[in-house]
Amino acid sequence: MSSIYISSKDVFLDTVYAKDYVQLDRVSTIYQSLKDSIKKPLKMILLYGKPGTGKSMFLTKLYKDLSATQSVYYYKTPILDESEFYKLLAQDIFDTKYSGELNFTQFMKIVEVQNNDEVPVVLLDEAQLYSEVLMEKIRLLSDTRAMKFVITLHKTEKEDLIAKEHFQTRIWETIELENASSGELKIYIQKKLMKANCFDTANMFTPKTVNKIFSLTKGNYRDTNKLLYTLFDLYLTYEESHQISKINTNYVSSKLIEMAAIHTGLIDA
Amino acid sequence: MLNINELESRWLRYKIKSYIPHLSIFISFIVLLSITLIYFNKEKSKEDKLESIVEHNKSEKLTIVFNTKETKPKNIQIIEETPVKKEIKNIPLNDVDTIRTLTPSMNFIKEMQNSSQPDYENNDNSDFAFQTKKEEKKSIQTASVEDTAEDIIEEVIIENTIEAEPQNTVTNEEASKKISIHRQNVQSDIHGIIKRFKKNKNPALSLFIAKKYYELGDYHNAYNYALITNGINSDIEASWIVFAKSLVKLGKKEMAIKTLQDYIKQSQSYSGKLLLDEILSGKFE
Repeated sequence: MSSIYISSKDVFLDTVYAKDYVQLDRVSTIYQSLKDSIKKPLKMILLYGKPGTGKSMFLTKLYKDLSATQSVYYYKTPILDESEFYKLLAQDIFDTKYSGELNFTQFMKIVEVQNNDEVPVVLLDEAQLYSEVLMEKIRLLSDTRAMKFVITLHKTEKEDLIAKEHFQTRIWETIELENASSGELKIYIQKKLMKANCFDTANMFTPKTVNKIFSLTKGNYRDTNKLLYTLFDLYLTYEESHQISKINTNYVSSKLIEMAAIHTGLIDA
Repeated sequence: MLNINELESRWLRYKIKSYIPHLSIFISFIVLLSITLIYFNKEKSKEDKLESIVEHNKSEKLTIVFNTKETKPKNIQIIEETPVKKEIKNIPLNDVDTIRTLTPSMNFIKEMQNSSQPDYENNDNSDFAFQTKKEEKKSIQTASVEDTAEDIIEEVIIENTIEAEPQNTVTNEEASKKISIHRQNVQSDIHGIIKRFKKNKNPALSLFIAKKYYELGDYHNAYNYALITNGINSDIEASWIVFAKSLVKLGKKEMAIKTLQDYIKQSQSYSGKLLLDEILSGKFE
């Protein structure tokens, strides 16, 4: 019989699956806003926020939702080589395989030949890793209205600069994602656990516990996932070493949260 | 699998570390508080010292004031203790007749002096009566008033025994009893007045001394002080009368008659005429 702590631990694995998407009120509003923006004749949509605020999850969810109704292409990892980027787009969107080098001019000819009624949506995650030159080409591609780009950026000073330089004059929509509040974090944790039928562990999170987690993670989803994964790993370790009686299993103690934070590096001890 | 022991020890270190700022803040707060308390205590002690000094000074002043005040209650106490009512209560019925001795107070002399001076001044006013026949009656009245007043004073001061009836008697039996007050040091009173007279040469005092000596039967001194009084102010009728009476008592009847006749001529004194008639008729010897 597997422990409840194993399944609870697995819930918080740092994976980006659309099925793991937790619907929170504020996040749902933002998501709906993003979906509406896709329908508009916008060239580019910028999704930005601090690392771990759920940008990738947003794109994943959007890809899953849109793929049933329209042509959507999602690139989780950036294609840093320019030729490779064009070749991949030509192959995926226009179903054109290109064996040799493909430059921007050649790719533009392929785009012009195509006469699709439906504008394909290209989702580019971690766009801050793209070079400035390639970002400029993406901007030019979006100007053709042959394809629509939804890109995610980490919100840093440098990335803001990129955004300003390349996308300032474009008709586009910007959506900012933020960390969760304490209340949202509690819902996030409990919803996540209950989705995996971990009701017992979901009830272990009291407002005090969640506040403690919030004070450590500042509501960052990735940090929270990491912390809770380690937390349940700790429970599992205590259980496996027959020391579970040493700790409180009715609610998550501050001591265990702090121990998990020390292990994950959220607390420098 | 995590290393729980290592994590626990790290957590313990972290907790100790996390409490250090709180502990240091707490200790510094305690230190600051104690320093503040010590400082304020010192300040307070200084203030207390100052206050105590001030209080001490105040108390000294107060004691002085209190002492001065104390004299009053003492007087009051004497007055309260002296009432006949209390004394009578304490006296057994068998000892009611025992003589109660009171020490004399010199205050009455001051009062007397104050009271005698206006009388004397009145007497001075009455001197106008010697000059004008119209005011004769007035002068006689004032003279008689003066005499009666002086007699009252003399009664209080000079009389060896004063029969005083208890005023606030509780029982009728006790009220019927009399307490005789003896004056023992009349001579010392006279000497005191003589001293004062020597200082200020007040004819009222010399007249008083003359009268007192006359009452005591010391006619020679009475004559002398009446003569001194006449020397200071020759318009005092009472002085001339004491003078004449003393002369008669000293066996110098003719001289007394002559003196009175001269005085009556000058002042038209009614009292002088009466005395002269008494001497001539042999009623006064």
